Amino acid sequence: MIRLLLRHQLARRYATVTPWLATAASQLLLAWLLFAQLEIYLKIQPRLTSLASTLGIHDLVIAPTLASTALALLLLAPLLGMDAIAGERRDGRMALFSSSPVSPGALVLGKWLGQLAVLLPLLLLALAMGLAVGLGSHLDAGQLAASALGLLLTLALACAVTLWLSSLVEQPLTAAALSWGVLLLAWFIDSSGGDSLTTLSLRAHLQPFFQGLVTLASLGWFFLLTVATLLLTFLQLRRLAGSDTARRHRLMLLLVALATALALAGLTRLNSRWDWTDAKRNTLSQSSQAALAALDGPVAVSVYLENYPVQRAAVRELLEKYRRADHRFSYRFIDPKTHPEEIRKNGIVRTPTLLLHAGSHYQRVETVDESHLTAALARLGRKGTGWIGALTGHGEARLFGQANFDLGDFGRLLEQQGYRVVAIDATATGQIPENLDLLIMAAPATRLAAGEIQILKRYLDDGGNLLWLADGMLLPEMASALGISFLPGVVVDAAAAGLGLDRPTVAVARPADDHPVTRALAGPVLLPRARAIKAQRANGWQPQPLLRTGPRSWNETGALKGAIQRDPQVGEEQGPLTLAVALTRGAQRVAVVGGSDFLGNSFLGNGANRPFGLALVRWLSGNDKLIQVKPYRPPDQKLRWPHKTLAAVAALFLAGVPLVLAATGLFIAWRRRRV
Amino acid sequence: MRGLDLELRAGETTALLGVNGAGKSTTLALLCGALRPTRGQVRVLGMDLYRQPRQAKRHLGLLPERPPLYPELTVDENLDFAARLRGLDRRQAQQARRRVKQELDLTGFSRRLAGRLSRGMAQRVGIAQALIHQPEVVILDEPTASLDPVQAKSLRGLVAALGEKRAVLLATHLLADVEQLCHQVIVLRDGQVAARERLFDQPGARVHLLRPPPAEKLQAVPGVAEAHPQPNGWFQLILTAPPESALRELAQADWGLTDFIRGRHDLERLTNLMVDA
Repeated sequence: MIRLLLRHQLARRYATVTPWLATAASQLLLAWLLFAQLEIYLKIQPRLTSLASTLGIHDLVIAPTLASTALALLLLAPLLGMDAIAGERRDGRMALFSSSPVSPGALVLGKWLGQLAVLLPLLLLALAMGLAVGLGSHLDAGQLAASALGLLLTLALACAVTLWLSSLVEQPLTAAALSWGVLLLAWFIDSSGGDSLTTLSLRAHLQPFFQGLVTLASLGWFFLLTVATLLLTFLQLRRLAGSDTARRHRLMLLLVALATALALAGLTRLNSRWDWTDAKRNTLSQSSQAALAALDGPVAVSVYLENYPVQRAAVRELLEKYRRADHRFSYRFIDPKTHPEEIRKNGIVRTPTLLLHAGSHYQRVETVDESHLTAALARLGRKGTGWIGALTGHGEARLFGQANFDLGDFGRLLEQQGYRVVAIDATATGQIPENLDLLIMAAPATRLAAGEIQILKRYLDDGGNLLWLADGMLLPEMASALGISFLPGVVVDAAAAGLGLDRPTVAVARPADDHPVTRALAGPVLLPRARAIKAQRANGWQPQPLLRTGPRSWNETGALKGAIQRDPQVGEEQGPLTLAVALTRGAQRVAVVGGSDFLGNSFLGNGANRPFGLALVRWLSGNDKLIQVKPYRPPDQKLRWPHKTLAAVAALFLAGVPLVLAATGLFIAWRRRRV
Repeated sequence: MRGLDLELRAGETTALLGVNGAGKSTTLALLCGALRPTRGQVRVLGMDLYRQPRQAKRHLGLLPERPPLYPELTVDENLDFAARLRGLDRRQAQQARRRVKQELDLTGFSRRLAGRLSRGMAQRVGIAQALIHQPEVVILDEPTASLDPVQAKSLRGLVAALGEKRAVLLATHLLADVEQLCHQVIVLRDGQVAARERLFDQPGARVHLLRPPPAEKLQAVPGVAEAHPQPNGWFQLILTAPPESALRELAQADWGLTDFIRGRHDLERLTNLMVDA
């Protein structure tokens, strides 16, 4: 009986010209959208390749067209299905069913499947277009199959909603208006940006399918709402037939509504998902999943990025993987143009920049890929476990001090990053604790005792990491052990005047672009009263410069008053001069910077000092380890078709198919009316 | 509806008479299973319509007030769908379609769109839909309403033929339908049965007597087969001979004959009952 009703519905619809013309018009519109987007894509494609974008033709051309197809189906389902029951009631044809051995259940299913079958050709045509364009580049069959499933579920839901609303009224147009209202509300409900509304959003549940991701939650959402609306239609038909009393009907409605609401709430706990894409591009690497699992609370990510759709789509795709993997992960986009205060407050100097907040801790990511993001998450997950010792007892710059030359702000910054900073008095303890990740020696003002030097040397010999901010009292024994030496005097730099600084003693140091500490820095590091460093291989240490001044600098040994100029006779060397050097010995890491004031409270905010200091500590404490994730390069970024083939395919879908559909419809209508 | 007790027999046409809103359509909806009564039951050939709806409905044929046709489908397609809906398989449906088209003189309209049929022709197709599975019980809702006299006459002929073998229930407010087609009439008023009468095939008359005798005396009059007393001195007579001889005999008797109205039943009284006059 269900099959009979399905075939009847199909025969009825395609006996008239309306569905033929509606399908033809929709096909024309969708084909136009597809090929217009493909044209734009071909223009930006070289740029995408050069930017190493993870988006290809499916993401930027096929998926948006399929999303438009879904919207077209939502509009057409009420148009072609509004009279499914309302029309039968209005024209008195319900008697035909009620006097026949047809159960309400069979009637509901038959009508629903019939409506679905009527709109199936449009869905198949859209998929055929996707398939054709996919074949012209690189077809990801799994992704297309997931998209097809998503569209089918959308169509099934749209038909079920239309059928239900059609059973409530006697006028098909009223049913259509109600259906459009409900379906479009479900589509746009999350446009206001409210996360809580995402649960009800059709678009939010459909989107993952277009990315090749099938989630149990989305499957359940569509299934649940479709079954619920079909059940409501069934109950309404029973009510119309007088099978249920008004009281029983209300009770049943309440039960269906309650059960649906409960099941919808339960869906949010379902985490099963299947990545149907060839490259498993929707699946986070094991390392990233482990980093997420290690978090002990929610992580909120602020994404500072202009409102550029393509760039945001790429970032969103990455962040969505994390969000799907762990519901405690959330993100929001912030347009720097509309939030200048926030930009200033958070020191955002480039976009995209991601700030990851976890409780009172945060991490900054400026290179947006899975490796950097996961590394930042791992650092957040490690909070409380990274120990930094600050050597004290010799008038050092204090990591919690308030004086201009103290490093209080930097110390707090380190704590926000999850480090625990403790003061180390080597004289009192007789040794440096073994569990330190890093020891900071910040500008001791007095000479260290021989025993203390021995303690430090033993610390280094035992593989400890050290950040030496060489200012104040220099330690020749330590320098010798590390293979470094300091040039006399203070570095002066004529480049400082170019930055508007009135003191030549501020060195403008360019970061080296071949070291992980300095590679991502966006500008120069400004070091006041810095010392130049010379480094050579010694005791197994491999030196590598981190910061160098420009050619208009030298180490001034004379008084810094009045006009000064370089005097080579007294050992003043012309730049470039090295101001910071990284030393490695196996896994052991040491960094020596010719000064500490650049991290001082009064100077930390200048230039790239803050990110340099953080990157330095991160590298020294071993927290810079990037998760090795193979970067995804979409195989469908290039269209292989020659222009002629593309034109032929476009002509087929833009003109051929719509014309054949329209002509067939008109011919059928003419032939049937002729008798 | 309250207190409706109704039995339909094969070979008998029953009229359900009442003004608009009297409950005719509700009664029909109850009888064909479109509505379920809060109390009571409907049996079709002994099968409970609500407990065994699939089996019972196979023996029911319904023509609603507007024939349930799909205007975008042809006559053949409409008939095929109705047949398949009633449980006939494809081959049976084709055979049934050919048969019913012949019976109802529809053979020339096979490929005509239902939406392009005249009202009378559409009613014929509607009857064909109701009869396509050869039901024992046929329910017709106002089949001649809104038809022109020629179409109505033709349709009455069809319904009369149906009533020869099947149990037919005819809902109508047209006395002409009742008079020409029905064996029994049930008058509905305000959802209740206001009267239930058997109609007779023999000639009859309605008489008014100022001094009415017992009914037995009237039945003894030559030419009178039955005498049914009615209020206020009226009698419905069933006659065995032409009315003239009975009239002569009644006039000669000392019963104060004032009216003698020819006619086989009392249509005027039925009209009064419909409106509670």
